[in-house]
Amino acid sequence: MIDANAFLGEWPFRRLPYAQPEDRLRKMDALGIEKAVVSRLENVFYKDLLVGNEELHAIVRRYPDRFIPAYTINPGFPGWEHDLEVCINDFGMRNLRLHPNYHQYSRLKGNVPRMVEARGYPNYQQYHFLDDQAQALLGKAEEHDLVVLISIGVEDPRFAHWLMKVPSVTMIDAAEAVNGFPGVRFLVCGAVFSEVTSLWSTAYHQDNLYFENSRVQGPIGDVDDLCALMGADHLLFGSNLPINYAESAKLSIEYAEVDAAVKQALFSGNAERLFGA
Amino acid sequence: MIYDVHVHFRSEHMMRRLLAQAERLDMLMCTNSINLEGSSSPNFPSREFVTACNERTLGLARQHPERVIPFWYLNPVHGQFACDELEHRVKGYRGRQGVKLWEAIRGNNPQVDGIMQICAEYRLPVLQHTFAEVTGNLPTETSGPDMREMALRHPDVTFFFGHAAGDIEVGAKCALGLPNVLMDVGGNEATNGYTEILVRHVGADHVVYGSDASGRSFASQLAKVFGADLSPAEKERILFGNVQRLFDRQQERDSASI
Repeated sequence: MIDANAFLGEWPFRRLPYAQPEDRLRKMDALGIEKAVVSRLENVFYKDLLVGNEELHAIVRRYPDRFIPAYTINPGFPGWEHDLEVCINDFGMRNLRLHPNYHQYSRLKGNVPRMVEARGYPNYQQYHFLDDQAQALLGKAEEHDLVVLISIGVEDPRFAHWLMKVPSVTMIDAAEAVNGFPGVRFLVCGAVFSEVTSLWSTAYHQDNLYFENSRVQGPIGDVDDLCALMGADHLLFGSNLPINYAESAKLSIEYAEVDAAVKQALFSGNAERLFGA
Repeated sequence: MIYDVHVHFRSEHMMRRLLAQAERLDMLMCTNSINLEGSSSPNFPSREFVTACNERTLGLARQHPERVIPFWYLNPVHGQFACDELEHRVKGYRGRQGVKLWEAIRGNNPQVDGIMQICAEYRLPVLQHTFAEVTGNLPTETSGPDMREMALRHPDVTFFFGHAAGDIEVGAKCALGLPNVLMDVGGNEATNGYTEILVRHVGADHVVYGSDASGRSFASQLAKVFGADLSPAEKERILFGNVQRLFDRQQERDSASI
């Protein structure tokens, strides 16, 4: 199996099992996961993402057969072009992770709501894929043939810390990226079932659009329905470790009433094709 | 065998899927209806709506007694009508059964007292929905602290602490030291460490498996138990033993009253 969406590192609000590489490898071995696409979890929150990317590079160098890195870039923060160059030239970057909602691409612009004006969700609407810097980054992704992982949400936003009310990326925003860059392969991570079906119907370029199933945790028959909707080539097994139990995504595929070849595609075949793993 | 304490009969289509998976997993589903076929779930259901929901549950339980345990849905705001509805259901059904309370009124409200007296008499476990959403609960939604008050107010009733308040740290702290509360793991995302946190605070004897299917999948919710760093004996109690104990007590009472 290949885990198409995972993180290594600590979460600020709860001690999570399998956050560190050695623990993770034991867990992966227990579940039969040979490889995992990983990003640095701290890079959800760091300002200087190069720090987290350097840490990730060091980990991946120790376990090159087990971890496939997806380095994180924030196009709303000064110096992202330099970070990207380092990741491409020094780390051999092939996969790019984006957190539009946490990173607030338009945060430094003047035309966004102030916190006091956005009740409940103070960070809402402070990102946009039509932002010129986000567009420039996606252009670079196309130029370098990077797989772009868009994190729709990392955790269930209903039970976030009271100072971290971060809503999930909207499907309209995600569709802007997918529709605007048909030459880029997008893996949409951390979307729930309704978000997957919504984005699939909103996107008018679907050949370049993939999803992983870590937060697709219902309704009953979810994997069956997604395979019926999209075909089996666009869905990948993803754990969202260490935030979620990996068993959720694994059992969801195992319990699906699809044939063995489809399950094999979801567990590894589609990821092998997408990541060249 | 597995007991799922939190299953909703949303639609015939979804129920067929649940029954098929329950068969494969050897699962017994404590099932309630809070909607009718094709309808949404009103927060403040009418008398007629509640009765129709329970008729639907009864039909399902009679059709699939090997897989379905009826949990009667009540709106405590209906007062004596709700008590009469419950008495009618309990006397009209032979077998394991329980009660489902949702969002019409907070569980610690005295208006719930009449229903609780009947639950105590018949040893009916009560699945009480609870939530602690960071952007705020509905005004009549039972919070974690409300659930604690409810359990203390009705010490002779056993409660399934629905969703463990959603926010597991809130739920776990609100259930500390309550002998008549079992934490329902179901209905939220399979957050890593979910079940371990509950067990650490209240012990494996006070945690039960629930799914909130069909909105949630069995797979995602069973993962909270199968994937937890707990002993096989602890997992067995969560999946089966703790609920079996409750229904054994209910059956003892039923046998004695015949």
